[in-house]
Amino acid sequence: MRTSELTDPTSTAEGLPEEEAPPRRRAAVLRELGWMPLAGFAVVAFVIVVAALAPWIMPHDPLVSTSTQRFAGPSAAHWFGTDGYSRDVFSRMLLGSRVSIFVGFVVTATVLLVGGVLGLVAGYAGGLVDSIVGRIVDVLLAVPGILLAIAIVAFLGPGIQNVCIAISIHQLPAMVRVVRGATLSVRKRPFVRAGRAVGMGHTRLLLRHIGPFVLGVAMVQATLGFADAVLYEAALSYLGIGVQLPEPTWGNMISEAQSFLTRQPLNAIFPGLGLTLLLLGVNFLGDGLRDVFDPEGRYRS
Amino acid sequence: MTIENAPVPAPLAAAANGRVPLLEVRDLHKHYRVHASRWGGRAETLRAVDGVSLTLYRGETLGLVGESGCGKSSLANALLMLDPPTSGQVVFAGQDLTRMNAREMRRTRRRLQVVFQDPYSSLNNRMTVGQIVGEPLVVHRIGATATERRDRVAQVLDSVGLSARDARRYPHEFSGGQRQRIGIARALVTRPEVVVCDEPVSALDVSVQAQVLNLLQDLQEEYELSYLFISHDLSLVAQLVDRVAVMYRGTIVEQGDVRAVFTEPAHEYTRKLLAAVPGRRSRDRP
Repeated sequence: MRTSELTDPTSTAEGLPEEEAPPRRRAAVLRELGWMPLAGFAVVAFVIVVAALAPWIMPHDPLVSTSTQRFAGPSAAHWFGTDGYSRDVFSRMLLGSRVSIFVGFVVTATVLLVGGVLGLVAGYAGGLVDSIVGRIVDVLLAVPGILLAIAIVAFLGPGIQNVCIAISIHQLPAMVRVVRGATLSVRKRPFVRAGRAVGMGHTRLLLRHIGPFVLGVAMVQATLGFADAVLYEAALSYLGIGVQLPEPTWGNMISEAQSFLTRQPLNAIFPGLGLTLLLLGVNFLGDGLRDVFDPEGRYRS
Repeated sequence: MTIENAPVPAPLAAAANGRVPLLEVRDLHKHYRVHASRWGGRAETLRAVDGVSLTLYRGETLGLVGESGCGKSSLANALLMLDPPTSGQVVFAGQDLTRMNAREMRRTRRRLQVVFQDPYSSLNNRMTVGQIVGEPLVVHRIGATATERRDRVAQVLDSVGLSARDARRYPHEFSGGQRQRIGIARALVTRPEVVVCDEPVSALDVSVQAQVLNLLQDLQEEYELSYLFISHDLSLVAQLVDRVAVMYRGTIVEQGDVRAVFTEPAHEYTRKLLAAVPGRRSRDRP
């Protein structure tokens, strides 16, 4: 920023409210946010790296018995102990983190793309298009979240692909609402009118002049949606209608360990801790992003 | 004579002598539905523009004055087809804009531009000045190469009193007056014939107002522009325009040569408007 370079003698009309404050310095923004978003970012980045490298850094094969002892506690060979089939819990968690991260990213990308387009078009076009999209969103919102996801998976059958579809459909309404609201308010701003006066088409106005202003709040919504997707995948897998055993996910690991909770509680506690940490991390990060992009909380869904 | 029932005078025939009408507004109406409540209640119609006829001749400046809320900006938006009018015609260079399809209208906008009131919110603050001013060229496919477009942007920035180096900077780095120059550059870059100036200086400091007005006058000569100059400030209009139309409650109550209208107003509302100009009353009443 080079605000000091003003040489023209014309002065600013004082007292005029500025539409949007000039971008703050990056360092100042970071200082204002505090440590929580940074910690969140660190946790999320760590889990992503671990998930990406899992097949190469797993100390044992997570699918077969690699110990002589069932339900063993933590040891040098098996950091998180072993489970009921004497498999290595640490390796299973590493492999399971891939499912969480995969579902998180796929759902977030799908929702951002589909919900973003629907919200932009509904908010920009208004009228009949807006009404139709609005009614669809209302119908989806009328069904409680987990029930909707269960119904969809029950209908489509289990498996990671259908889990992604179910969670995406469940998350769509919130994204559409947020993006539609932001689009409505940006659409009314004079520079969009100026763009029309210049002779721009709808595509250019949407992509170049409205899209960039909507992207911030959409990203915040997507980040919070990522946490939601991780949690729902775990819940569906816990209920046995998500990713199927023996392929491990944190959700079905908890479910499997539940029957032997008195014998070896650590088998459930470790994946539970992993989930808690990841979800906290994503939410801290999301809150930080929201403070940057939507400080007044205008578009919260 | 009451103000409400005033007849709409026809455009002065004298002013038309030997001159070419470039933009003609014929019996333009813009009505808005106003609902008393969401459910039920009588839907009322607000006649923001209620049968306005205006003619802008090539090379002249036509002023449009009136108090705020009288429909000036509604008229501007309607004749620019930003808010399509309810009825009436807008004939620009022989073509009726109200009958154009979206594609033809977009193409016509190259020749019919507008400068907006608020120099802050009418510029996209995430784009550089070069992108803002150059975008109309991209939209209208003017200039074969990026270099050619950049040269043209530099040239128009120069003629509005900015420098070519400013193209790389962002709007928030500029003052209000400078921003309005950017808005003017954006309007002029496609070489339009008509520029609608919708209160172009009312958001600026008084000292800056004069500079921007002088610039508009210089540019009129340089680019052979015709202006429709909308303002609530009668003293500005008196300096700048050739003819003036006085708008009140959606209709034109009086129009004609600016000196004639301002020295011998025929309509009661014009007299009231003139009497309200600060500093003027004391001169009129010894």
